[in-house]
Amino acid sequence: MNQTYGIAGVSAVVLATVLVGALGLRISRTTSDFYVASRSVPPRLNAFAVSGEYLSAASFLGVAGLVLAQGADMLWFPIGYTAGFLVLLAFVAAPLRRSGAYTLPDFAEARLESRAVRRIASVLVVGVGWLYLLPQLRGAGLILRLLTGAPGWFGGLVVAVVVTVAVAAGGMRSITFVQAFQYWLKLTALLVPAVFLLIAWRADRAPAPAWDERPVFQRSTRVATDRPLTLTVHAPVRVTVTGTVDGRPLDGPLTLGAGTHRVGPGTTLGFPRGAPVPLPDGGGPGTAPTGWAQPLSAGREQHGLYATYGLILATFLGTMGLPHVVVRFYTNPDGGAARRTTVVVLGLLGAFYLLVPLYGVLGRLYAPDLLLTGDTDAAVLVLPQRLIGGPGGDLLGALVAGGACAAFLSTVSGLTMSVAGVLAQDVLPTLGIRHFRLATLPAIAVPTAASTVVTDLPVADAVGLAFAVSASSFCPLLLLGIWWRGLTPPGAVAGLLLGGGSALTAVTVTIAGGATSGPLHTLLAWPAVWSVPAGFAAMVLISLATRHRVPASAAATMARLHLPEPPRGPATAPGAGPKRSRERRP
Amino acid sequence: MGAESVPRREVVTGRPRTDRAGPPPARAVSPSGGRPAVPDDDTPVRFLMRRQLRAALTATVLLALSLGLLPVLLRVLTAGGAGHDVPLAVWLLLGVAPYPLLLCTGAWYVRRAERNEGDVTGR
Repeated sequence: MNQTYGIAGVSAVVLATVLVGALGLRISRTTSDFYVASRSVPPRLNAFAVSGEYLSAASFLGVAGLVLAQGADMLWFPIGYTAGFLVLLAFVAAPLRRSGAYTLPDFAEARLESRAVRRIASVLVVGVGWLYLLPQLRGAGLILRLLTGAPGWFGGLVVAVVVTVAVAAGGMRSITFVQAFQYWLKLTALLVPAVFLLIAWRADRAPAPAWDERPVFQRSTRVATDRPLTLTVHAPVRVTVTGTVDGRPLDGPLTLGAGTHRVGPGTTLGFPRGAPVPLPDGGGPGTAPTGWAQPLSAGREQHGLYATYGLILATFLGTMGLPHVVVRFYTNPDGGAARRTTVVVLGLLGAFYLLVPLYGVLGRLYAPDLLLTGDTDAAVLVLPQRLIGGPGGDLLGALVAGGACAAFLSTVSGLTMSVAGVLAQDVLPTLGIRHFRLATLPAIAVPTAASTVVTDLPVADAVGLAFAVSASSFCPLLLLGIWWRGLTPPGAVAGLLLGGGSALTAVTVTIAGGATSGPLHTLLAWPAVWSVPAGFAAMVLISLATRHRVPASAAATMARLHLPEPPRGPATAPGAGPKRSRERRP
Repeated sequence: MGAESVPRREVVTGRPRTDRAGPPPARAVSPSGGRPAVPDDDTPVRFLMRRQLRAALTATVLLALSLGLLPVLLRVLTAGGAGHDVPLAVWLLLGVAPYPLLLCTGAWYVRRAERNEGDVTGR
């Protein structure tokens, strides 16, 4: 892809983000109290912001890459990402807003009057936030590597620095406008190229992709690798080589015989039209990381149904526990508005995810070499250049690169904000709340460091793992806390520890590469199927056993969570909310 | 975004730590908000909760029956077919159909939940 255009696209997005942020700041300056005023964010604007924050690199790049690699089964990812909001709407949205809680630890303490529950919830929020940040930073590394050729860890570092500066400078106070803008940017960045790609595809006599056989190159394709690869070739194929193959430096045509071949770093291979795509050897240490696909491809062969249900449970039930999503619900004026916001979010996410499979399918046709290099996550980025080419392709490529950049920026900044909030409040007591800015450093430094350390391990589907941890800990806490008076602090502690703890352990083992194949790996890579019931069971049983510990305020809390707020005039809305907050000099 | 343009800022991530030792403040049950105080009679709340829970469970059952059974259904249907060859219908079923369904279920739930609340509060 053309580097100049790509860099221009990314820079334009960063600039536009700052501009919209400044504009939002101007508007918000008219009210003396920005955060309380933002409790009157209208549902539609808030829905744009929620969607803008939620659609991350995993959605923008990862899903298309997964579809490219593995086909229609992977469409369960976007379905789960969307359906999670329906479950959130039905059980959580309005009561959570009415609870007045800004974070999940806040909710836990308000409902159960227990510091212990609060502390455990804080640790889990930080864990989920860090798990979710990891793949975002890796995705940023991928984009920057494709755009500039910089090493993978560098891109993550750049995004981390940009976000830290933005959050610390206080620019994120206008976050609602920025994120709302970024939803539309992301949608445009997929929609406009998709139209042109479909036209180009029709002009190419609309070939149909196939997943049941080895993919073939639709056009003669040059593949450049920047790291060593081991390829398996099934039938002899005539290629042109610049670089080293099987240890011999070459420059010219070569026939690759059937068998495995080692390709040195910095080699360019030219494949003719119609040649089958050689695939990298699975499992060996020299293979490229296959991004979001890796843990799935290992498990999916034998345990497809189990993995699918693990994914469904994790995403359907995990969305309600994502820290950056919960924060946004607080900005709704009341519970009813929180519900209406969520319905609009369902529509917005659906519109976005309708486009994503298109890129996966076209990627299977026109960018099968990504399977060879393992960069399947780059499918969305390379397609405009591949299918359209010329300055038009470059421009559309720049648009897509900008959209991907918006995806990282919005999600990473939202997550950093919420993790830093919890860190400042609960984990770093000596700093105190005045040092919120200082907390942004550990909030993002830890996942950045982790993403540089574990680059070659299958961390990239950490998004799915973050959902699993959230589903096994916060989902029981929220559902039982909102709908069951009998929940007690010991019950909540037991459920959080057993559900969240076991899921977190499984995730850690998976990321550390503890089990690489077999049923054990599948069990650990998709923990939600067993850890969610474990969390619920522990919470209910221990609560029943400690019935005398039911908080005295349970009835009052239930009334607050479920009775609608009395009507408020819009003019009095900003000042009428409960003032739980404390002023801080910037 | 210079320092001079910075408006007065409030931190709303939670209560300050200083009052941790004391009893938890009545958060949203604030007189300024005009929220209902502790009700003497719990019946309306229980009544509303039951109806809201029924609406939420209806939506969830719908979700479980439509999307939740789909993986098994697809597995059974494609078991006799040829390997990974996925027909266009499956692509549409997984790539397009769920989103209108989710949106409609969500819209139905909101109408239902607001009607339940209206019935209880008489508004």
